[in-house]
Amino acid sequence: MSAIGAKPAAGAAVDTTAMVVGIIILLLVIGATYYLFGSGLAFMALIGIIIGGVLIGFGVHFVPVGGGSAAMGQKPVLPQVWLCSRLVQVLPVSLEGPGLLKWEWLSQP
Amino acid sequence: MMNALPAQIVPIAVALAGMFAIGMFLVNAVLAAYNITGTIEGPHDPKFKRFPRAVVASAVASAICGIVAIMIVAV
Repeated sequence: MSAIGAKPAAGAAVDTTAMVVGIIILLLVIGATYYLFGSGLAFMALIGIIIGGVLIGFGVHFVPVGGGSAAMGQKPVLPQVWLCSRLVQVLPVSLEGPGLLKWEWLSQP
Repeated sequence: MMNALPAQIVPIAVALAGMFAIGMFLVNAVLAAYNITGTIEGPHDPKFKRFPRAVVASAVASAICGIVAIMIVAV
């Protein structure tokens, strides 16, 4: 079952209504955080989490080097797939870990 | 939050941060896969054109997970 010959049944590249709703939800969440916690460490942590999440979503699927796209394009050799999947797992967690760990210091008086 | 010593909170906080990081990685990867309706099947897949949808979806999901994580820590 390959996607090369399949029709794009799920829609085009940009679904305008859904993207507008999504952007509105994003702005609501950012505004709620700014209102509740001010523009301090909490706000910066949320911005860091959002940027990290976007990089994860983009890097796992759209990078034709070490992610799912490369692993699916290879012949099924087990060590290669395992190594590529390991790299993809380690890299985003290492990006997000320091951002979340730094935030734990705020819980101390 | 419950008047505990910082030295007692640090190992719990580190474990919580690790769990949040792994959970958010899973959410972002699976959500992007659902959004482009499948995974990329090689470097010449037409699904590459759907990256705006996946970027917005990942941002919204990360924001919601992030505000939950921040409110657990700071409230």
